[in-house]
Amino acid sequence: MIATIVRHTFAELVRDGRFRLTAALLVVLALVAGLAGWQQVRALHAEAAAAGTGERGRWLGQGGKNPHAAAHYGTYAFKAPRPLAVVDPGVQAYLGSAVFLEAHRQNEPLHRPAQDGTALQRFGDLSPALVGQALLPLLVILLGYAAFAGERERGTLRQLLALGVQPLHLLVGKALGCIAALTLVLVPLAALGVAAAALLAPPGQQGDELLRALAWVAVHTIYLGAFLFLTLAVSALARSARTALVVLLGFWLIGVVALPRALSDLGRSLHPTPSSLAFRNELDAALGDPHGRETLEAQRVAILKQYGVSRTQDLPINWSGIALQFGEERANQIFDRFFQGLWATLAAQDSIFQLGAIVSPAPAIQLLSQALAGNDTAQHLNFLTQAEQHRREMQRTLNGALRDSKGSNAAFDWNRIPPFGFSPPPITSALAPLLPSLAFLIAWFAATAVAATVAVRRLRA
Amino acid sequence: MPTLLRLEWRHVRRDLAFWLATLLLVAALIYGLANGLAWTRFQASTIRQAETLAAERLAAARTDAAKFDQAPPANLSPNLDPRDTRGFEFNYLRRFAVLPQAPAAALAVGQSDLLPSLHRVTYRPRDSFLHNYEIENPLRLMLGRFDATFVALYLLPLAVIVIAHGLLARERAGGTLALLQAQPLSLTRWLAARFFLRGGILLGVFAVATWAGWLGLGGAPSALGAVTVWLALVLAYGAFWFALAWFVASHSTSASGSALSLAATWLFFVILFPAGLNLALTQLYPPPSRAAFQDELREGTDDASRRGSQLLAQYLEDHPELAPAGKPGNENDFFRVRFAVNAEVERLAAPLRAAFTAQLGRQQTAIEHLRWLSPTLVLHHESLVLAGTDRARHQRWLAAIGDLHTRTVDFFAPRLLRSANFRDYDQVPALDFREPPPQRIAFLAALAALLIPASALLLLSGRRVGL
Amino acid sequence: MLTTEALTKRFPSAAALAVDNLTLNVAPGELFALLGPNGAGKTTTINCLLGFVTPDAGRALIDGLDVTREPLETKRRVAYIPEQVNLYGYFSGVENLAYFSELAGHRYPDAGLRKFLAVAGLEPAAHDRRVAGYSKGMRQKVGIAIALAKQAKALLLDEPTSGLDPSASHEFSQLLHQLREQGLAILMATHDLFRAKQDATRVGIMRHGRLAHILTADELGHTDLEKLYLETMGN
Repeated sequence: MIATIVRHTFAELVRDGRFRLTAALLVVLALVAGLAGWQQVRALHAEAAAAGTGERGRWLGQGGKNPHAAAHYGTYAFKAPRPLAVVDPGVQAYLGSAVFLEAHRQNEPLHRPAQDGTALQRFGDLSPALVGQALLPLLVILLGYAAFAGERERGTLRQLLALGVQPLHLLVGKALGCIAALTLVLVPLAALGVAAAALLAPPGQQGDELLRALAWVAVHTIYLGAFLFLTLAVSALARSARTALVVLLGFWLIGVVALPRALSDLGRSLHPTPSSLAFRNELDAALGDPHGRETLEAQRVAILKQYGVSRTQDLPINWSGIALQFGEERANQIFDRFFQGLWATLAAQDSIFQLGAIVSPAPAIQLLSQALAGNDTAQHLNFLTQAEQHRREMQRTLNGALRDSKGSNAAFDWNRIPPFGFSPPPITSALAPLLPSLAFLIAWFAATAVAATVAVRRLRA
Repeated sequence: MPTLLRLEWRHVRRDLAFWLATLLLVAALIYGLANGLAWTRFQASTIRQAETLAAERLAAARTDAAKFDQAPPANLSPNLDPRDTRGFEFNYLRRFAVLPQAPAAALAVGQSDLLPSLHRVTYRPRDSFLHNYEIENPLRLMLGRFDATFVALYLLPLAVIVIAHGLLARERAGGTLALLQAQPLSLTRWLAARFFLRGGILLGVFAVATWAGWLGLGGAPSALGAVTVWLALVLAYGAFWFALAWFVASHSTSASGSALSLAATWLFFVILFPAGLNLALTQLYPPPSRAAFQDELREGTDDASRRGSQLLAQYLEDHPELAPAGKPGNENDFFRVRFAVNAEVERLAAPLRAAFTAQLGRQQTAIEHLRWLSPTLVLHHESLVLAGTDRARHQRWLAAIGDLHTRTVDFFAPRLLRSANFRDYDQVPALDFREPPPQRIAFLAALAALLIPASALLLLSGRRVGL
Repeated sequence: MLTTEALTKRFPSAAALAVDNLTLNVAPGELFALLGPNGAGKTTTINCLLGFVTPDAGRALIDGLDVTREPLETKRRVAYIPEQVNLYGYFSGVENLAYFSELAGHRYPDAGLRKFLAVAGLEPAAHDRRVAGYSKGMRQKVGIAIALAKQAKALLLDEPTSGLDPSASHEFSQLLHQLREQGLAILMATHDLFRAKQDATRVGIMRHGRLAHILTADELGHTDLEKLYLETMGN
């Protein structure tokens, strides 16, 4: 019985010219956007690698430079794109792609790709993620809004129920039929994601990226499933197909188009970030605050005593190496305080956004998709943290070399500073902060499935 | 017609979906205006902070200079002395080039959350101060702001669709159309009354809410003119969507069918066309690589630093007025080399930067032409221009910053190189950014671009109204 | 008053003519009943007289005015009651009547509206209830009231009694009699042979868009209408 309904629903949908046209259009859109993204990921990867090689060459070719001069000369850490940017570029375009690592300062990243774009990009990137998160739900609505309401209007629902078809079987059959039709669209998208993970990931990361791609497909399937059951529930409850359609389009509009923007603005008003000017002024004031320098003086006295001399010039080691490292460590605490505070504010804003998943599943899927693609704020901050760790390590080594350089004319071996390499966090730690989103998404799926079941139980012809 | 409108009012009163759509739209508009105004207040306070800081430091320079003249302090580093060019520039000068807010900036956040509107212009190479971002959650940058222009561009058409998609088809499906057609009245006029009354109320309420919201939420009353111009465009955009709904209503047989056609048109104009155009333009005119830019700049800077003395000789040949005159010793050599190296870095960076500007310019030009294909892009473009948050204005401002930078270098070079004494506190160059006169023609063209398709749709629908 | 002159209509999707060279005249005070199976062209004839359908040849006239040329003027003179009277569910009976009357150019005080509803047979308790809760017969009565309020010279009825219970049908027939007495010209398409024989002054039997038979009141009295009808169809 169910198999008949599934076959019938599937055949009806696939025969429908509107469905075929829309589905084909969506697949083409997603593939075109995905392939453009593919090309961009490869180009950015090559450019970041080339620039990284250039930086490394310059670093190694510094000759007999003073280590502290080299620390000021610094080096750039370039961020290579993540392979799954092909399916969801996320916030990548709005984040800097290079950080300057130098003495005394934790710098903010430079070169946001979006700064070289026009205002058009603010309408949203055309990407497989846009197709999966915003457009496919529309296709689901188109597939399902008339499932029950339309049959009721045509009078065929009466006949079906008179035949003794169980409403629940009808629901299961129709849902599976719609899923079968949707699979035709989902498979190319999934294939794109898996191919990107397999072919674009750097060696050693393929496993994790592949896992991410599969999880990406899974969360989108749950998301679309929730939309499907919602659509069927509304269709069963609505008095007419038109009402069902308008209610569902209204939900899509509010939940998918308006809510995310409204939430992110709400987040800002609840957890305001300081202006960049104020942030930097306060940071500079904290760095310039002489308070705490007395420890350095105490250290100097102790070291003079240890070596039994009275002047720093007479020390067998280079005092400025110690003083500079002291300054670094003091500044690092200040940087940590300021940047951790700022990032905590951003995280608080994002958690307001995440709470919006109570109203609509869209915020949850957006956050999950970005995180799985490796293009969310948290993983970008992870890149910045790793770059900053590298900077601190670099300063420690250079200042150490400076300290021990007294009486030796040997040039610093620049290879002692390793090249910077970003190792992306594994999928588990990328998902850890998003467990609420995952829970919300699954709850949406469960709740809409229950709602659809209840709605068809009460089905009246 | 008045009778028809009066009769139609009886329907409108009972039309729950209409009032719900109107109410939600107004609520969204108010939220959008509040968001936009909050953002402009934030920006204004940042600008005030910058200006206060600049004025305070300049005043401090004068007072300190007077104080040090009275009682010269011992061991004062020239780097901290306001009477020394170095000291003034390093320790006192905090001059910001500010992109001024347009009066109606709150209508459209546009690019103003992404592109910096504050640069501290120094005589150092431009890349040392141009990478100055405002702190912003990247997720919000990606999603875009919920401002009044978002409400007009995205939500207003959807409200129109909800209201108007079934105005004819529902009567047909409900069977009342036959009884109506048996009455001695023109069905076209009757349908016109339905559309005009609903459109009039919706757009009228939108207009009143915009004015009231603007004033009530603390928008500048002086900007009401610009707000009204924006409103005129928004209403024309709303009229376009009503005309489209009319056209679809007269060609479609079912309410669901017309709702789907209208929703598909919305999706095309508001989501797919802009995103697709952006994708096409970035493929057609891709911006150069920022990583490669950084790489070349770095290589060039290294090279220039290595060739410092050679560059200096060349530099002094080009600027004989800056050659050491009478002053013995090499105390200014550091600065001389620095200016020479900076000039070389600027020379290298200029074509690299120009490549970005050129590609951006090509994209911009393409958009300027292609926007006429989509009413959404017409309204979007004009809204950003009215709010002063468009890319073109920002580019003009960056050009003015380039000019200020050149004048700053010219101002400080002789002073740093030839005389340490500094008293020219009033002569420090300031930003010369002038707004072009308001483009009435562009506004009228935009208005026409919205109203002409609307009228064409009405004409095409003609008298195709019936059973 | 209601006249068709060699009226002909073919629908693009159909092979045969829907109305074939039909000439007919219904004078004031006359009730002409059109009989015939589904698809015989009864409704198309009425739709031509209402101007819903433009004839391919011939003319439809009301009070001597061509329906195609003067659609508004002719609609002022004719009232129409469809088989299924559909009204606005969110208006009450009175409000629906007021709305349609005013569209037709007549404004009545509240009492006047209620009087029309009462004449049409709708009990006063129902006047202010929303039409969404009305039965088919009640809606039919509002439809009659709308026709009455229009003060038309002619009345077009498309199977007005189908689905009505016998007493409602009887009331309706009495009302038609009164209207005929007042001088209205009435054209009624129906399947109800009994009602046709009772109410009509003339009866026409249509087949394939043509009038196969026309019976006058005198002839009706001594004809077995059912037999004639079946014979006509059998040919």
